[in-house]
Amino acid sequence: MPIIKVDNLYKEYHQRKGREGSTGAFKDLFNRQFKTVKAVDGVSFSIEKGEIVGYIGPNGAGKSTTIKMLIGILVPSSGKIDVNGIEPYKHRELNAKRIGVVFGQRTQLWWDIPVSETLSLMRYIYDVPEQQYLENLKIFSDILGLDKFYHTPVRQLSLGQRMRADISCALLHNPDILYLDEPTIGLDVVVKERIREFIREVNKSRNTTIILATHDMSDIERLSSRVMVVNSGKIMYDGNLNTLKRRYGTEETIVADLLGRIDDTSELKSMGVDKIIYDNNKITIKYDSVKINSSTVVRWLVEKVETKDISITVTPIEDVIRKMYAARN
Amino acid sequence: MKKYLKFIQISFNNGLAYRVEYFVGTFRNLVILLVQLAVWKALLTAGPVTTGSGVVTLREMTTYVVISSMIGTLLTVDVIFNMNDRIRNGQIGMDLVKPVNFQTYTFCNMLGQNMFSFLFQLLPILVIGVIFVGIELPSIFNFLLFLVTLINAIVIMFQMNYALGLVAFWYMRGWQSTIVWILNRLFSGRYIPLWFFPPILVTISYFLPLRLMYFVPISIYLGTMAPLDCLYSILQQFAWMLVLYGMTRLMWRAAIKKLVIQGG
Repeated sequence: MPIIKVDNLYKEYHQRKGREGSTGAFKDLFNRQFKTVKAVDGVSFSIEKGEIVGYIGPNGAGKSTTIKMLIGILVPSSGKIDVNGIEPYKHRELNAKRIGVVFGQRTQLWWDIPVSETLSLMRYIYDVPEQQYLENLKIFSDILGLDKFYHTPVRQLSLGQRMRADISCALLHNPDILYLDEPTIGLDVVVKERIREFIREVNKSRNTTIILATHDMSDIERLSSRVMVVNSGKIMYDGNLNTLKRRYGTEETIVADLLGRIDDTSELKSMGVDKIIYDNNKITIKYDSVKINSSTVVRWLVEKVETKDISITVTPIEDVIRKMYAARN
Repeated sequence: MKKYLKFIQISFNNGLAYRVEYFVGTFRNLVILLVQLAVWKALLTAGPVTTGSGVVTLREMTTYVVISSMIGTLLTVDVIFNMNDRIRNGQIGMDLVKPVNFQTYTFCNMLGQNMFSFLFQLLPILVIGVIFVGIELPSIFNFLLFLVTLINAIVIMFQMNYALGLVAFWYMRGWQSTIVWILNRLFSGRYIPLWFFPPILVTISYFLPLRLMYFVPISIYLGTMAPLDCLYSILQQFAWMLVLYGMTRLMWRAAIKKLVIQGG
């Protein structure tokens, strides 16, 4: 019995088409023209309890719209959603009690009061027993460092702190399902990794089902094995992440600023990288992440020479999708 | 339930954070009150005036405007503005994620705000009313009826504003506030008692719930309403509450389908 089942889901918006110029605006007053936008265009899938599923696609693909319908705050144009046995938008409050939501671009916290007040309020809203409340607060403090900004008003928090506070709110009541919409957007690498690790831990220890919508491939790679690729409201791929990478290839690029010299780069070539550009103090290494992974390359690099700065760029999802389309035609 | 009480409490505390706005608002209301007192003094110093409904004295009118001013602190709501705002910036999505009834939640927020507003402005208004002008005091019975109609008025005012706020789910526009503003000034009796209105406007006012929010409670306070009329008015209030409740429920079901949550 899947915990989430989506059947032929559609969401259409009617947008007003504004005609150009003053004459156009005048005509619009009397005869409004509409165009229909299909944000979600026939989506079906099912998710079992305890799965971590990545929902990846470029901006505007319909990820957030689908998530909002799963949460129950948007009503589908047609199609059926079943979450834990109920239709989310028909029983919004009941569904809301069993889920946790983190929207990367917005906060659930009350703006003018300290984090502690919001959490206390959430406790009443979700009917969290005192024991569970205190236990969770301890976990959040230990792993997310919540105690360091517990008494700070939300408007004074940094983005990373605010995100960690939002995650704490979302998990306070031990929900069955956790929805994350772009949770690591704008965060630095250290905080990103801490949050990803925490999510992995929550899934393992509580068997929480996790749906992660993002356009950042590295989020998914660190967290899940199953991925759904969305584009223009349609699901283009639903399956294993590594299979996806193997089928469409994922080129990664490492750029490093060096403080020394590398005499011989042929060893790196023989390890399987595709291309090396070595220019004064900067080296650019392109490779297929299926053949050789980033840690191997970085390890080789730091053993050979002192590095000032290293950046790793993953193939953007847009490229993967483009390759998917190309492969279909 | 306890969570709703907490919402009221937080909303009330927020008032303290926005002290400056409240000072300005209080000052503005006091000025309006003083202007009204000056006008009625000019009109009625020569002697009482006869209207279609009876005789109006200066003391009655000064009491009227002072009580009206106090009711104003409880009935001025930000509901439409807040709902428009939250829909336009998509923050409404965050409200709907929570397992709380949106209407009750909005009501609690309004209540907290208005309670703070009332307490904040009560003292200056009372000072003017009791010490400087001298207002009439009602009988115990009338005062109790007054309180009942006042509580009902708060609910009705909320429901009206909430219904208009729901319109933002469709249109995302801001004209709803203007409608409320105009109707309120005209038919509620907030600034000019309905005693002075021409018969045709009085008739129209009977079809709207607005007179039940200012004119009726104040009339009960002043004792210018016959006891039977008082009870009849209270029944009308309950009737409107039911009608508006049904309306908002229907509107909600339609509105949630139309909702567009901006961002993300």
